[in-house]
Amino acid sequence: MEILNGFLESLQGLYTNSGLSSLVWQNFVMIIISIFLIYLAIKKQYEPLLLLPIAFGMLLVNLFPAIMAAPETTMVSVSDYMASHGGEAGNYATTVMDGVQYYNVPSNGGLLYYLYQGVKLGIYPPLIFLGIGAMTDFGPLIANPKSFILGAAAQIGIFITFFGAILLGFDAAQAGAIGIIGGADGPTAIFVTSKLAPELLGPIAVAAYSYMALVPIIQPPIMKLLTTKKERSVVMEQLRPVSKLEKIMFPIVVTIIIAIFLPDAAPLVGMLMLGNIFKESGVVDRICKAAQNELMNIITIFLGVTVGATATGTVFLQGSTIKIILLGLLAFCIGTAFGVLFGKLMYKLTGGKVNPLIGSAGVSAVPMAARVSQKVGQAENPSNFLLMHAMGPNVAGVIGSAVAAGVLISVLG
Amino acid sequence: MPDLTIAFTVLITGFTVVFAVLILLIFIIKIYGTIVFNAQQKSKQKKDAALAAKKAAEEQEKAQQAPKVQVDSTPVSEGISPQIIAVIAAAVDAMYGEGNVKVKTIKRLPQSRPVWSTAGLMDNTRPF
Repeated sequence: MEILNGFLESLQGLYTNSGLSSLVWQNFVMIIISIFLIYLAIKKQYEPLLLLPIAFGMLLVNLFPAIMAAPETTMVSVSDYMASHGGEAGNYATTVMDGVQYYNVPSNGGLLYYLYQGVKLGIYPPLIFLGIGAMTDFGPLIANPKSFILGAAAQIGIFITFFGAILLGFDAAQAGAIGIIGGADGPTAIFVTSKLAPELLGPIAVAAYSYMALVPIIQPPIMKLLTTKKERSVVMEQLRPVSKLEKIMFPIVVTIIIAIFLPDAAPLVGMLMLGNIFKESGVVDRICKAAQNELMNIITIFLGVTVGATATGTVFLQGSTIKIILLGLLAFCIGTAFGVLFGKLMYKLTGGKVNPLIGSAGVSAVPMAARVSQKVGQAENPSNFLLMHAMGPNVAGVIGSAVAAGVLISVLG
Repeated sequence: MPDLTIAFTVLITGFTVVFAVLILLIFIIKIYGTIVFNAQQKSKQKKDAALAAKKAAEEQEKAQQAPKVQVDSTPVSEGISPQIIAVIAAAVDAMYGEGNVKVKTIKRLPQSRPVWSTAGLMDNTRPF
């Protein structure tokens, strides 16, 4: 009988500790969503490098919420502590309350809580930018600096969406974090959100990366709607060659300008340019490769899994998430539209030398958005190669969204 | 009613600062690009001129030393070496003929993009 009772008690203990007793229905919905996202990442290959760790982090936290738990300090009376430890005193700080002495016994947080500090403190996004900088060729932008206009135009969506989010009842900081989805730059979105509205990190990161993966589906209809067949068929002149010296000077000049005029954008742009000078200088091949590969991959894992782990059922399944996802889509569409419209303006001003399709690449999402410009242009004229021309606005968009992030943090932070 | 003052402030500040910073970058990059490009073009021209002068001097020296050689050149393949003509003819024969193909003319077409660059672009854009 005693054995049977012990067995039943053990089963009860297992049940109490298991997810079956502690999880709420929202957790189960999120588990289903995360499995669907894992399917999309593996089967459809939608940004798998990020979507897979994000989705798995989501799965983990909803099965085992303590993995994201913050460390705690429990007060245990000294007498109780010693009684349960065979009379031995503990080595903890003590507090005296009502004449009773207590130990402050600390307990560790969950694994992902510690990894999440890199997101919370704004460390991972600039490190990702370091890797991006080490992989980016700014040559097309240096050859045609006017591309910066398109990179700026595509950021208009951020500020218009900010306005929309305010109208929908979000506070200013939250609206800023939602608007940045329009920058189509995951690390920038996470950086801004972690500073302005950390409570929205899960929905915003998921929205930002989803839309980046959906660039080839979202952008072409807007591009076709706003341009004529003649405009889409424009073959642009070949870009001038850019010397090594110009490429080395670029990161230095951009860093100086951004750090002086917009210091809030300096962590992102500074690291982007540090990575780029590693690449262009040609003298630090080893660390350039480390930034491009090992560091980038490690940070991607930490960033993805911990951002996913912020999407717990009770936080994610709210009306505000739907609003964020819709506003994010709006931001993305407006950014694309303004990029194309400014492309049209340049088409007119240059007497038809600029193909407006390269404007849509100004939303960042490197290099996918540039490839979409190439694809839509080639659909009209198979011998037209817009890829390198679109890379200019595309990398300008990365700088543009970092500048927009700096503005939002500076005004709202 | 939400507070629209902050909304308008961010909207206007955002537009202005993003465009101002990026336009400033356009000017700075344009200026240093022009300076560096011109300086490098000048030094390249100087180098090219020196190289051309050296080559001309060498050729003149060779012409004076070497006996005159009659070089066959057909009007159809001016400027193309016999080896290249043989390779092109062999390639054409391999593709289209069974030993009964006659290559009449070989013309060098103006090329806007290097072949390898075109191949690279095709490779990069093929998934679409």
